[in-house]
Amino acid sequence: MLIFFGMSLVTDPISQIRLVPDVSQQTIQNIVDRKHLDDPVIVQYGFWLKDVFTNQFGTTMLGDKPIWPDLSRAMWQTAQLVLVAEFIAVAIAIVLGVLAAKKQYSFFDYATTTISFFGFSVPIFWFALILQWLTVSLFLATGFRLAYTFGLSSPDPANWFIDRLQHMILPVTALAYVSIAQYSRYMRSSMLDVLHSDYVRTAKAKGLSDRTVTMKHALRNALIPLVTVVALNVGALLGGVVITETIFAWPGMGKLFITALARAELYTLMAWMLVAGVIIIVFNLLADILYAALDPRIRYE
Amino acid sequence: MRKPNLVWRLLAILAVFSLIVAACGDDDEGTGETTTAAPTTTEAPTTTAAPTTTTTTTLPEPEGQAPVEGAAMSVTYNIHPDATWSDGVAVTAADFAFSHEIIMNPDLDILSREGNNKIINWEIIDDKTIRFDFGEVYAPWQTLWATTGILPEHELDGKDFDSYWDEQITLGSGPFIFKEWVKDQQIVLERNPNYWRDTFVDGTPVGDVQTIIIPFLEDSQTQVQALRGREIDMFYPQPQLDLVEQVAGIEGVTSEAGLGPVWEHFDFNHSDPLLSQTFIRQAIAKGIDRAAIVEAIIQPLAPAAVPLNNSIWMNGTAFYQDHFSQFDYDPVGAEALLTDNGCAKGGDGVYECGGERLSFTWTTTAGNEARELQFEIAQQQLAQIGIEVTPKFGPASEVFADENFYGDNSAWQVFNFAWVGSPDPAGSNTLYYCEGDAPNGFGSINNLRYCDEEVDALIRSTDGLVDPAARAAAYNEADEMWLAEVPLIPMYQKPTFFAWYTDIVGPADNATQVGPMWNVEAWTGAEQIVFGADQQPDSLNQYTPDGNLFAATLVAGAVQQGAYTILPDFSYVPNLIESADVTLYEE
Repeated sequence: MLIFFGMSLVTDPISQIRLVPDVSQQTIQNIVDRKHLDDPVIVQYGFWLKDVFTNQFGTTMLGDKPIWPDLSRAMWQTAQLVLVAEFIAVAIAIVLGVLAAKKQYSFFDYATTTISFFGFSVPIFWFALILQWLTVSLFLATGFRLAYTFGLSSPDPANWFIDRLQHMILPVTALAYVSIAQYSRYMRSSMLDVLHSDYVRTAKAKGLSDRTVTMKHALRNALIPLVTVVALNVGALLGGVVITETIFAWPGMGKLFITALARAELYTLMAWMLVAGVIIIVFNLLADILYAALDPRIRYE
Repeated sequence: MRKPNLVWRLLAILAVFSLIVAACGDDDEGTGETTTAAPTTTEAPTTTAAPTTTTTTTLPEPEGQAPVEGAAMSVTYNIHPDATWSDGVAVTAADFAFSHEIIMNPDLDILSREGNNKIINWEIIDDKTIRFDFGEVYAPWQTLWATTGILPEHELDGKDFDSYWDEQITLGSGPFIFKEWVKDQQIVLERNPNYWRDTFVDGTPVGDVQTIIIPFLEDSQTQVQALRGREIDMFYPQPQLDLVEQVAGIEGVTSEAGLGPVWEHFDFNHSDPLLSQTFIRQAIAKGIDRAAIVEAIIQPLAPAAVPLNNSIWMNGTAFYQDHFSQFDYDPVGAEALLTDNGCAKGGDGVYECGGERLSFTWTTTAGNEARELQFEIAQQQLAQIGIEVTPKFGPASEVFADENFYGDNSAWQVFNFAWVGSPDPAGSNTLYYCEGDAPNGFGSINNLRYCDEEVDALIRSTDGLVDPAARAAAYNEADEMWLAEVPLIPMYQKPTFFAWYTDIVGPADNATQVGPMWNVEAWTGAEQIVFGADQQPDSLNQYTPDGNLFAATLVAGAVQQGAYTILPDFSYVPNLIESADVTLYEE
């Protein structure tokens, strides 16, 4: 409600056509009437709320187009990107974190630390542009197109799956790299805590193999904080990875948000915020459930 | 751009000469003043030949009498006999009448009804001839259906026009047809197998491009990399210096910068007690080095760019006259204006006039690099003559909101933005009106709150002047009076930028609303072209308020045709019609 009121007060949702010099005043009035723009903001909010529950978030301001089809497509497209990137990131981060912890203060540990901090500090837009430049340079040098620099897929691709993969490589790499940097640090830190705990020492004293101790006793417990971080992170990312989606022209939630904001499309923005908020709440809940599943003490308490 | 050969030039000269003779001679058939729709191609610098299809026809109106009561003017369209829709059905007078009825349907969301709202009657003379009667003389009649296409009655009649063409254009008269819009990915156009013309309007033979794919990619750096890797063959981005430099470095790519009717300006809010004084506005104008700003910001993108010295006619067009160079950079003269009018410099180096410091807020759209840079340049230059400006930037949705845009000096004092003009200036007339339906009570786009009754009257008179020369003279007289008072500072025409691979022959920039597809039927050199657009359109229907995004313009440019089209030199040339005749009636 606060956002609706704030947006309504500082923006004119039909300003972009008001400035068309010979715009039809009749059409402006049609839009004003249809969207109740002459009514108090609280009344407009009421109509919006009604649309949310009875009309799938209603329609856009200028074109009177249904919002839900665009929003649902954007959600699915962001989900593809984020879930693939996060799956890869988690898999790599676990391996890196475990190995770095096992080989603490080794060259490998220092190398992963350096790469992680690079990932933390490099702006994702710069990294994304470098990826594009490298890919195009590779294509120009060899004639081999490893990946496309933008979009979801090519028109009439020979193989839909390979084509989609070629379009996903760059945005997934950009997203995954940042996540790997973050998750591998969590994993290393968590693994070190566990490896120095009494029960791991006991397991080793019992003569269990190093592999068994690491994989069966240490890893499961070390994963607990990572699972929480990943669940929260995925929830936030599903709301839209604005920069990555904009640079790679990936038509997801982030792109939808930016476009709606630029056009002052109040109703699309409100729908986006509602959906993004629900996603974050759901993934917070999921994090709690997973936490309980992985740590029996939580359930007992 | 292709240059016309000698034969075409001679034909053009002959055609225009015959039109001038027709326009100047006595009109035995008409009752009032009859002017044939002469394209203005000879009056503006152009490399494109005038069409030879424009001919004079005799109007059937009885002598001395308007065809219907209240008619002050008629326009008779003689539709090209070969013009057909992509399904093979002929384009007829009924399609023109249907297009008018659609535009005037109050229940439909039509972006602009300007011009059509002056039509009081229409009559189909025969299948290929229709006469529209206007209730008042409407000089910019050529603007009707120049940037929007004529609609096919047999396809659209009975359909919901607000939605039917949102996601598809089922039928067109242009060289391409709409094939599909894969949401979030691309729009695909295919060659129209039933295209009715063998040549483009300038006589260039039609080309061999069969498919045009329009994908959506917004980020300018991505566009450059996509062009470099030939994922796209051409694009039409917002020009930025680094982008232009990068494109110049791509092998096999050429580019063109055009100067269109979008012009940047610094506005003064005349409700401000200080800015309402002419000498202060003049001092500010003289204190800003417009040439230096253009040189720093625009010339690297468009070397031909110069400061704009007319608020009505764009530089390089036939009727352009210099009315503002009298206020070219002159810091000494600026300070002299202030001191001569009793202003004195305060201790902080800023002048005070009548006890008020010359300190103003400067509003523009936040995040626009060029505008922020030109603010910084202007701020430094004005500081040197003792005038302070401070930034008050905001997002477009905020600064252009009615409350701010039409607000008094508490909302803004100096405001930098651009007007999206048109080759015909009539659409911007309300900028000069003292009264109108704007929230501030002035003309609908008069955010300046500036009124000059004499200018207002002159501008209003232009709608009734069908003779292009007389109309232009009235506009220029008004502009000269208006700009002498410096209600705003005209800065420059914003450049457009078009880049493409040179193995595709035929593309050329058209900085008017018609856009880069203006001559697409003549393109050759590739079977399939990928034209990168900045973003997915909301709607493909150009008549509706949300159908004006660039990708929709590209589709319309290739698929639909209007009565006229606009060439890069801003001249109107017949497209779906062979000719049009204008008749004025005595009261």
